Amino acid sequence: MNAPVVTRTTATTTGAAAGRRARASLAQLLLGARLTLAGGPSAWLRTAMTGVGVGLGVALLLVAASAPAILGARDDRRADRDPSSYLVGGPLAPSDTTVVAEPYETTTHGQVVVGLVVRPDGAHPPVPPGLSALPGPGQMMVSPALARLLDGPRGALLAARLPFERVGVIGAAGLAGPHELYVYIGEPRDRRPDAAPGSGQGFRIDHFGAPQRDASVPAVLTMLIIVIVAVLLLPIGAFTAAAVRFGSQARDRQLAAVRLVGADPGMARRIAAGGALAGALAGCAAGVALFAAGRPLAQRVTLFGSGVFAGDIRPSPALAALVLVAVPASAVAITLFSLRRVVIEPLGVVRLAPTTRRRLWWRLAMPAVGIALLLPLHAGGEEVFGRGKQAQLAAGVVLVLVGVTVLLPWVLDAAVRRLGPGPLAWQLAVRRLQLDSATTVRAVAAVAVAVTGAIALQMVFSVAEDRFTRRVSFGPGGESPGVTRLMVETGSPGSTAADLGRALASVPAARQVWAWASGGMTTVAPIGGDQANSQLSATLAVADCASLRRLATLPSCADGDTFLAVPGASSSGGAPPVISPEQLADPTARTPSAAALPGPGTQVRAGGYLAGLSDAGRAWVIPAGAGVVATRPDAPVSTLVLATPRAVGPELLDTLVPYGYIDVDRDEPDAYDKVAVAAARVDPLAHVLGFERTVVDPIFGQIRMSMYVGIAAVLGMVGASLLVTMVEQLRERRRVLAVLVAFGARRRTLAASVLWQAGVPMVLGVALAVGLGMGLGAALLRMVGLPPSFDWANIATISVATAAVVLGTTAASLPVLYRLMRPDGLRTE
Amino acid sequence: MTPRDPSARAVAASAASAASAASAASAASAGAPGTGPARVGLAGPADPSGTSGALLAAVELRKRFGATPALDGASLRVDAGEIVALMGPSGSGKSTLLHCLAGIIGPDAGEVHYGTRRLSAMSEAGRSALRRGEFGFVFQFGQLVPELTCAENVALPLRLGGVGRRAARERARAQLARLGVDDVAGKRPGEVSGGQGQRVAVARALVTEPRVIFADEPTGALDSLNGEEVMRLLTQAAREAATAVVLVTHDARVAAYSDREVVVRDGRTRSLAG
Repeated sequence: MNAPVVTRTTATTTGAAAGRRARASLAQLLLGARLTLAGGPSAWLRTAMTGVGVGLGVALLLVAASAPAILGARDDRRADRDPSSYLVGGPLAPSDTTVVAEPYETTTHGQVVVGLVVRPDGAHPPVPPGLSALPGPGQMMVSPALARLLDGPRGALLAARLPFERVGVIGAAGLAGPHELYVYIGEPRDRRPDAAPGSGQGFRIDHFGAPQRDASVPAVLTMLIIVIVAVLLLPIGAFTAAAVRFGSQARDRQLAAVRLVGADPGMARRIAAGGALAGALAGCAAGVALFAAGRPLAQRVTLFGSGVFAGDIRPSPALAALVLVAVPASAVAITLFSLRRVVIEPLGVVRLAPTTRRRLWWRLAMPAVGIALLLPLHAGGEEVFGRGKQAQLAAGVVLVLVGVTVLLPWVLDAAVRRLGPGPLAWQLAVRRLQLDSATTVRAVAAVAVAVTGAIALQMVFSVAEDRFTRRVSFGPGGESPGVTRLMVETGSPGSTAADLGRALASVPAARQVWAWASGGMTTVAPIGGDQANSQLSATLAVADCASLRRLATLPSCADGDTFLAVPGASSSGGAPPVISPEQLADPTARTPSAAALPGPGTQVRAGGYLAGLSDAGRAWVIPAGAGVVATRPDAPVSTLVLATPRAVGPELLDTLVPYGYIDVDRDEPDAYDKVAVAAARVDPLAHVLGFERTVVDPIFGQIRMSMYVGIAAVLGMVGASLLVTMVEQLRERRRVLAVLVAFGARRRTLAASVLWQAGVPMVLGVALAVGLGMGLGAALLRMVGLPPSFDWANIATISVATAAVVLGTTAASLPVLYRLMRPDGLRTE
Repeated sequence: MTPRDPSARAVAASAASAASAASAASAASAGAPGTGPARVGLAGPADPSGTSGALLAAVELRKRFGATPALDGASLRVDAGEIVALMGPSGSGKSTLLHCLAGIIGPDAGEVHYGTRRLSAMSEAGRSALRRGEFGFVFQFGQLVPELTCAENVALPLRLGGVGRRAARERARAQLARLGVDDVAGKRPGEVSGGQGQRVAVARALVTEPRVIFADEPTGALDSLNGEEVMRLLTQAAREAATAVVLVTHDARVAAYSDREVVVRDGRTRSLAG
């Protein structure tokens, strides 16, 4: 009967002992914190330095914790103003509550301006977020950034094509970011005097806001997101770890004193951890303050053409709490871990580290396991990663990146052991690294992680770019070298093609101009008698004979003639077929695979641009005499129906819109702006598009932009933290520096030694990072079924930029070195 | 050799006279060694500027650190081969006086002469060159560069002066052997005892064969036995090389190794003729 009682008693005793130990440990941590805070100006300075170092990390972690809110808010506002609600449900009839919205886009000095042209059908149209009312005809409302651009010295070329009355500014609720160039234009009344509502390119909608979008992200993009998060967060972690160990020499002296008054080694370690805890808590406070102070300033910063509203930078509460708990906790853990090989004696601290060789096997095992986790992953095509694969991918990437931080100390040890003697500055640096490279390694490791990740990401980006960006072209090409071809599309039937031709011809450095009245046509009878679909469509270009001759080789031409223009015999792939009405009516006929033209005698409905797709077009019959001709090799279009004005008649001609192409010298500065200004004379809302341009998948674009912004921020933090680390290292050596000065050491000797001391680990770190980064990049590319490709120019750029950051911050610490070289360090009283 | 040993004085006097005739005058003005109680007098000869014939002389030095006056009209002359102890309580200004004499800091007022040269008229680079070539230093602690071996530490002033690595290493080893610590040549300062480390520091101060050694509490971090040993080695080597020593200490036993003691109190100097 006694046994259970005894057991219970033992359990109670054990529990009580554990409680006492926990309370004692806590008391020791608090004592360490108190010792740090009561340690006088020198200890305060040390804590302040730790606070700054950790604070930088915490501030960035809080920004990272805000990323979901930042991206979410941008996406939400973009979606809220999106006019694509027309995509769901049937076409709307005009009513008091509908509006026709047409996308507007132009470019000025390389900056893209987008917006909507709106034409309300009634008195109560929907209003997008950020506006109190839609602008009236001939009026516009602009974003603040666009207002600044228009009013600024570089705004003249843009203002010339936005000649509308500015009646207001778009509020933040209607903008993705503070630097977005966005405009709402009320369509001028005279723009489409006879256009039937909805016959243009606009969409009729009764509310703004995008319909539900598919949020699934392809595996490649998931991979990029995971790698980016790991690449950005690990250096921050590494630097925070470095910062909590600032002032370790002074701390060691303090610990020896604590040992002297009776603390055992474990207590001394916990007291040390308490000191680190105080620094980390100060760092958290500094980080929160820095974050709060930096938030309003962030709105003024433009990175890669993008910006963030201060209000969007809201850390997720769970992530913010995690940061504020994890940072102090890791400070304690790191200190306890780092002191495990240090014997703290009452009369001083004996370090074991220098005599212990670093082991290689587990350091190599880490990246090896990481690569092994990555290799079995395959995600070809548009496959989407499941949660399991995402975790495997994240673990693999993190292991490779952490592998950099654990391999670097071994590589540095092995390398500096072999470094020979040299000039005094070199000798001082090498000997310093041989004695204690830990502090330097911690700082460089963070840089190396960033470089490894950046190189791997760069490799994946350059290959993935092909998949997620496409070149959009507007014609068969044919422009000569040294020439940029631009397409001009107007929506104003009031002007004539001749007006547009003259306007374009007036552009300086115009090499060649094509202009015609453009429209579309659709056969009335469906192909093969199929009532449901399969009508044949074609483009109609109406111009005088001189203009038509620039498009095709005409045997003869008079007003009233019509031609069916197809690529000449020299073009590859053969000419597209011309289909006669009889062939069209044949019940066995199928839709031709290549672009085909309806033959002479075919009944079509033709009209203003895209009008042919609806019933709004006018009836027309392709004249029986229409002959097949060859388009010119340098023409911007290849297959279309060419007609002279009399052939289509004034009624049809009135619905067509001026349309054209222009070739300008590639070297002409602001060619786009000049063409756009000329086109605006015909139609202020004319679209001017590059003949070819790159369209980037929006998710890919956002990821790429996030990477650029993130890597720029991390490099900035690397620079700032390195500076703090260097200054702290120098401060710890002030006495030795002062003695060297007493001996007559030259400034340049000591400065060179400091530069060598940073430069040698940096070179080794970057070399290791390039190797592992290329390996990681190759593994990631293999995962998506692509061969590894190394862009040496990019690798060199990243390496040189990193070297510049490291050496630049080291150089920035030299004034502190010079200040510490004063003899004050010799004073002991 | 023991402190206040008349034979030591004799060695000092002969070494000094061999080095400079001025030293004899200094010895005369300081009074005969070991003859009765210490007399408080001027910190140098009767010469108003105190510089004539002196190797090193400070005249009416004043120096403040913020609101705190460190030197308030301190004067001192040191002759070639002479060992002068600066004594005084903590905060009296003796280290500041040593730093001014060595050209490490400049006084706010007053002059420091080294031979015929005026330190205040020299550039920082000139003073650094002077320290590299003509002066040696021994401090209380923290003076050896922890990452360099003891031999490299001793070779450091030579290398700062432009001596080649090999030659510097050989001279450093010879100097270490002279001071009986050649067995620690390849060790780092953290791996040797305090006494050994201080002997390495003395070797470093002597290796350039300087004309003056500045020693700031050289035995402050050592036990008495090791302290005595370091002082014996330092003064013996200095006398053999006719090197002057300016020694800052608050320990009378250490000061007893000197030819002359100067008390620094509240930033002013008073000679104690022993």
